[in-house]
Amino acid sequence: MDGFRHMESMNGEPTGAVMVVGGGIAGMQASLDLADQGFKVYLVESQSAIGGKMAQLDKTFPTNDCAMCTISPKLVETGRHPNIELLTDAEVLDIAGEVGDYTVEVKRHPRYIDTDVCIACGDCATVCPIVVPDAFNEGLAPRRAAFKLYPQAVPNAYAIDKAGVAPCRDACPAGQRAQGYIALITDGRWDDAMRVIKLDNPFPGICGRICNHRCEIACTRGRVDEPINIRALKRFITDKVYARPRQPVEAIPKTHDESIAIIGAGPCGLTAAQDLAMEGFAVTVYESMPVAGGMLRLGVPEFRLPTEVVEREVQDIVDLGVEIKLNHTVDNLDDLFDVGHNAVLIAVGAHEGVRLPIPGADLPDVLINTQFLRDMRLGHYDEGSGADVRPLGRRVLVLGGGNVAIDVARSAVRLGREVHMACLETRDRMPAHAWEVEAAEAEGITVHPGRTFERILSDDEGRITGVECQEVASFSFGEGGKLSVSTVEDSTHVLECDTVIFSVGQRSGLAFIPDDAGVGVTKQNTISIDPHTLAANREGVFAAGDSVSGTSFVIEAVDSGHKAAASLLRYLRGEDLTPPPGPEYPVASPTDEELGQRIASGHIVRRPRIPLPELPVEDRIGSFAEIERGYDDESARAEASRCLACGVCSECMSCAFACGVNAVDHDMVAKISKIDVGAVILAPGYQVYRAELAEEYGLGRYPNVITAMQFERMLSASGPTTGHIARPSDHATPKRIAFLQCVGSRDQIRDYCSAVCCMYATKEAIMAKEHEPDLDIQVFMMDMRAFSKGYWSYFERARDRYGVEYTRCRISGLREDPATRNLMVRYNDEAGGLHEEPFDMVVLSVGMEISDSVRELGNRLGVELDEYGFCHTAQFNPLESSKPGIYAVGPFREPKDIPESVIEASGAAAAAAARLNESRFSLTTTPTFPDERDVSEEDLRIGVFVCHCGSNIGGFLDVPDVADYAGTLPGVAYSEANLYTCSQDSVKHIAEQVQEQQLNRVVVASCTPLTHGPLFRDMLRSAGLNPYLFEMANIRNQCSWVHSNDNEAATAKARDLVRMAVARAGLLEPQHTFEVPVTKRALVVGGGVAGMTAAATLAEQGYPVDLVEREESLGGNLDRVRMPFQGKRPQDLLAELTSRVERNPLIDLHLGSRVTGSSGFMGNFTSTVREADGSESEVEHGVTILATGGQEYRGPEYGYGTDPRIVTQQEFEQRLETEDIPDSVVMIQCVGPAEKYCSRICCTIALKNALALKERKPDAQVVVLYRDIRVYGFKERSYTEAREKGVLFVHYEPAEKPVVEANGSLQVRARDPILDRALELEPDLVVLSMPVVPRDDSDELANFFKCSIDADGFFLEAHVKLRPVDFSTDGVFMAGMAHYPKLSDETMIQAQAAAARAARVLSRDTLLAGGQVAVVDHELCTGCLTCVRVCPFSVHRIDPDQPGIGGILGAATIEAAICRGCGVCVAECPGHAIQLMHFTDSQATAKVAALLGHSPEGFVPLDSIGVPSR
Amino acid sequence: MSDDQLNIVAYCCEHCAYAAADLAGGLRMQYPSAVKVVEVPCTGRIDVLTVLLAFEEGVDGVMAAG
Repeated sequence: MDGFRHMESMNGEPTGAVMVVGGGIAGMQASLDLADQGFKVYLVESQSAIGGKMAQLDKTFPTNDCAMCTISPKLVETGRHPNIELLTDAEVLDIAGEVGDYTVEVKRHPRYIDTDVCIACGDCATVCPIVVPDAFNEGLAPRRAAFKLYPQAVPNAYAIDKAGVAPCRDACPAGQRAQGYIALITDGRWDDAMRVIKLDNPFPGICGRICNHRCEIACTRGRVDEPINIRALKRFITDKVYARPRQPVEAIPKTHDESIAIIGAGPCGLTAAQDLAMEGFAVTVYESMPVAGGMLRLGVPEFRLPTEVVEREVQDIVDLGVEIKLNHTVDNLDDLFDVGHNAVLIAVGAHEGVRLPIPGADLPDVLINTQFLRDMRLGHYDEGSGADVRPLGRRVLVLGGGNVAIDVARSAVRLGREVHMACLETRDRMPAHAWEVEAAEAEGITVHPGRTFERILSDDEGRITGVECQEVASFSFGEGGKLSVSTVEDSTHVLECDTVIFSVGQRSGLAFIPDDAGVGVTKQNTISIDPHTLAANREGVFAAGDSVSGTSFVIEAVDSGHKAAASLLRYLRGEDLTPPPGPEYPVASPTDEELGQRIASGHIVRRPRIPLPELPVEDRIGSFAEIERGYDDESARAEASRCLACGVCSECMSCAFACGVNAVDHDMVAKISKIDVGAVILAPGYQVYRAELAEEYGLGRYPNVITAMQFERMLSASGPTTGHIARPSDHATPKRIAFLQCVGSRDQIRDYCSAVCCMYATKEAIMAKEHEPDLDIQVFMMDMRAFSKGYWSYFERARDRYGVEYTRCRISGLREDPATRNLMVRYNDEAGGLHEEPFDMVVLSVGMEISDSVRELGNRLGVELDEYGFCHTAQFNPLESSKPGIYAVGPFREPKDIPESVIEASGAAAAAAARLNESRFSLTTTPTFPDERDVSEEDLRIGVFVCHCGSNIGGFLDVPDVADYAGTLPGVAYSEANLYTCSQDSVKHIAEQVQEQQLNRVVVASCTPLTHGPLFRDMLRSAGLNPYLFEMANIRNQCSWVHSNDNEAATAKARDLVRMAVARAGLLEPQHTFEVPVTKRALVVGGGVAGMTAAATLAEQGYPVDLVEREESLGGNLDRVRMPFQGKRPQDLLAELTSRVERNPLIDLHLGSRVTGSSGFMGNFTSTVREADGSESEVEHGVTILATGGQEYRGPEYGYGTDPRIVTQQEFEQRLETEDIPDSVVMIQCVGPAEKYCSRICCTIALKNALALKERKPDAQVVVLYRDIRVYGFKERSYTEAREKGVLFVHYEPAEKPVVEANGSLQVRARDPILDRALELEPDLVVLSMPVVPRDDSDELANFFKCSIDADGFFLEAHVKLRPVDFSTDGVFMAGMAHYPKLSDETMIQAQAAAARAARVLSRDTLLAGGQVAVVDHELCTGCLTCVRVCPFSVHRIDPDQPGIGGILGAATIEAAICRGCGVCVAECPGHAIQLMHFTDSQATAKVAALLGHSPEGFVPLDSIGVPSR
Repeated sequence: MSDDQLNIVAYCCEHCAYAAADLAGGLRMQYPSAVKVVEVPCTGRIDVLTVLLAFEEGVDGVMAAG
């Protein structure tokens, strides 16, 4: 069909790859079906692991299977498939090209953990301080920012949840990870907090005191109440750590010959010195002062920054091996190069104060800020030691209004002086921080703002008497920073004083740079540099810090020092000096809306900063003791806990330090790549309806109202409550639970049925009752939509056996009792009575909707979506979107349950495969391994590798002891302990040991073989050993973790488990596989929609098909479907399908024929067909698809067959094509067998026909008598339309079925439960909605192919949820109504799915057989048939030509190609004639013998007492 | 004899009960170290003799889960 048209238009062969978008169950199924058929698959998943919604479920209906147990093998298979490439944390951005040749742009978001390296030990999560609600647990439990989506996640790797760089870090010039140390403070981890600060800043104690903390300006908390006091928290940490004696820092060995000179031991120079020393370079710092620390030590007064803090932090850098030459003034740069330095960094700071050029400025009592502060810090103003400096007068006037001026003023106060300050600016625009000015004033300093300084007045002896000032009216800075001031007229006045201290700016002292030094100096007296590289004009000279920027803050000096060091490193390594363009890290800034939501939900509670204690003013003056006191532990943690964790991940780096395999990389950025594929399958799934948006349900406001998905997690044993049902408000076990159905479905806004809620509510009710049998559960619903296989009986079981109460109504109101937090549910019963009843908990059965991101995806790809975001698909190709080669499956098309999603996934795989048929196997790879070593003649040499798994095992039991013990066990030639056995290095190392030590069996004692067995088996193969010579001892999941409180017991058990594994390993033998050829031909039985679609789909993929139909023509039931449904015309479909089959030369049609027998197995069937002419022919085929259809029931119920006015829907439909249209019709639903099982399609057909009648005769009266209207998905719309068009619907209870009488006039009697009265109708026609029943010959056919049928006579699938078109017999598949009643598009999809499953077999030349399979010892076989009867997969058969015990013909045979190796036959065989390879009796019992300390030789294994060992 | 000195063999189907035992570990549930899980391809592989033989060897209990 149209698929081929597109193909022909393409040039060359299509790309043999398919992209599957969405890693839920549908996406996984599509991927596996395609990869198994020889296509390369890219599976794009937005989350960090595949699994989708199904992985969140506890159980699945209607079998109550554990969802995880059923999905987990699929997860593993998908994750390990060599031709499926998992792209997690990824999204599709764009698509270009056309079918067969698409290029898809995929963006991979950074995960910050390398999945190839991560071994999922969980150490990162253990140390992660960030706690966030766990979305996988629907917010009912917390998780860490470093997380694995769920325990069984594939890829089995952690991820880091990071929204971006936190605003505080972004604002910091040095990139301090403030959120990180704040989070660690909350956790009480002081040393870890210190570690993260020190990563970027060598001066935490200093910055904790004097930083200008831009972080706090950026802090998001400031938008809520007040920013976090980040600086105080930083100081708190240093106080905690520095309270302990300093531990010397280990020196870094010099690994380079080059040495670097740094001029200036200030924060910039020392930062650079540290960085360069850490890289192994020799660094000498030249400092002109007698102390190191620069401005920190000499420019900041003691009361703000104690000397000991500076000295301690400087010493940490000196310890690294940095040499500091104090009192060493550098006079010229040449000297430095001459003494052998290879590069020079000038970081001299800005120590030279500025003196305003006003009269009197050079008087002897005029001091300069920097000089004054320096002299003070060097002790020159200490009592009795002020001989060499000018003593301060009694009254000191500081000129300037900046922070340094304040420091100067406050220092002078402490020297006992009366202090005044004067500045140009107004009081509120002073450059100093407002709180600094306030503090100064509190200490008694008088501030004179808004003054100009005209002259300094002095007496005759040159002693200062005051400063002449004018009041400032306004001032501004003109071009080039030139100041222009206008003063208030006649405002000249004098501020009296004895000492004047200028504090109006600082600059570098660059006297040592002579004009011919080759280093330029700017007009601002800073060093001229390239701002990107910090390189000065002279080769090998760099400059940084205040000497290039002018005065700045310490944190900027630190940043500048880092940059200088990085530039110097590039210079020394001979690299390009320009820093490589760094990736852009997004900044995480919550929107106001998000903050509002978090406040509204109570996650953010407004509370101001915890105040920081300060020294009382009276104690300050006259003392240089530090003013600010730090937080105590409790206040620090309280302040830290105010952090909103903007970035989610705090970048505290704890995970990076904890990770033993270096898998963490916080520098990852998003990557965009282009991927070529031939087709795309969209399986993005749904999101549950956000019921919090519908206020009437109280979700989010009333804690005991939860969604069904939350309840699902609650029921899960691995969920937040480990399976206990607990009210969120008080964790009490509820006594009464209400389920509210149709939340976000079937309402005014959403006109569709979500199709799964009735059943999942029923399942959750059942499971809840299993957990708490005394629980009362009431389900408020409109209709019980139990429309599919096994659903109705499941519902009946819930109602009748579990006592779940179902009430047929929508509730009219819900409110919370604030005292008990119970929910009061108001509702009308069916008779109209109003009730209000309390429930302990309310579960909302939320429907399905399409998320905004999926809508955007659809729009980006250009596929047509409806107003709800669901994807439109083509009429005759129901999985294809409006864009050729792009398929939509699962709830993205229409709400649906798991098996239908799986069917659609397989169906889409078939459709894509048909498009790309020519390119099969063009892009796939097969792993290759070296030849196997023959170990049969070798003595036993077992190698045992015991894993620490970081601390997961090593932390709870004595791993070295277990490894030593293993070495003493018989047969063990080698044993060792590994930190992580599964890390790439270790796996390689073990393979090397296998070869070096000539090991021939390997035992790994670590985690679980379920996740790690395949990895180690591949390792054996790569080392030249047969993969079956491997055994694991599970000493983590089943030992260290479950005995974590008892090291001794855990160690003893680990020894036991290793001994058991070694004992079994000693008995292991190589197992080999062999290839069985496949007949590349299919047999399809049934020529209806299902059979035709399956045959055509396979033939279009190039596989010949024999299509056997017992009627003389194709079409089946479709021939009798006349009325269109929702725009689809059945007869057009029939014509299209028939011509597609008849035209295809690869399809051999056998009309009027039957299959009369079959033998063989998957890949090699032989069947007999009796042709129309009576002749018999043999057909060889590799696969079989049974599509024998169903038929409309024609039983005697309601008088059918007694009166021509009582007809079936099919008969009615045909009559609607005639002129004989009735005026009034009564339809009766759920007839005959449909009382027992729901026939799924009758409601839809009844509505279709009712509407068809209304269309032909709008006045016709139609009454539908029903139990439930079971129209699901978008079919709900025809129910709405029918009601709008006047069709009347009257509910009846099964106990009060309608009565039809045809005595003359036609009479129907029923009881209307709403009006509560009897209803008597006299229609022209009674139309019975007869259910579909299986064809009478389906069981015979099932018998030929050893297939099962269920109690209602329909084919039984291998697994209701995950293998919905497979029989448990391999190689046989089903489609259509023989499986269950279904509509034509559903049938087509299922037929495509069957074709896909069949093509998995047909695409291969051979099937692999052997390995762990059962083998019959014919000499012991009595042919008793026990094995034939017990095999769950119908593998065994009796071969009449095979001699058995005593040479008697007719022994059992087992086809190795289809044996699953379960060993059931082995256990059941009365003659012990069957052994399971790789699990022989002795291998099976060796472990138990070894557990009790018996050697394998020391006990008598089963196969030694009459059963020969194999 | 303390609980931990007993020997209970738990034959677990590798498709389900063995995975459940793994999950119990993941959830850090605690149980006596007397229990030793032995994986089997299917609980159907265990016959009466397997169980009896275990007792003959001296185990204190046998559990089959699948």
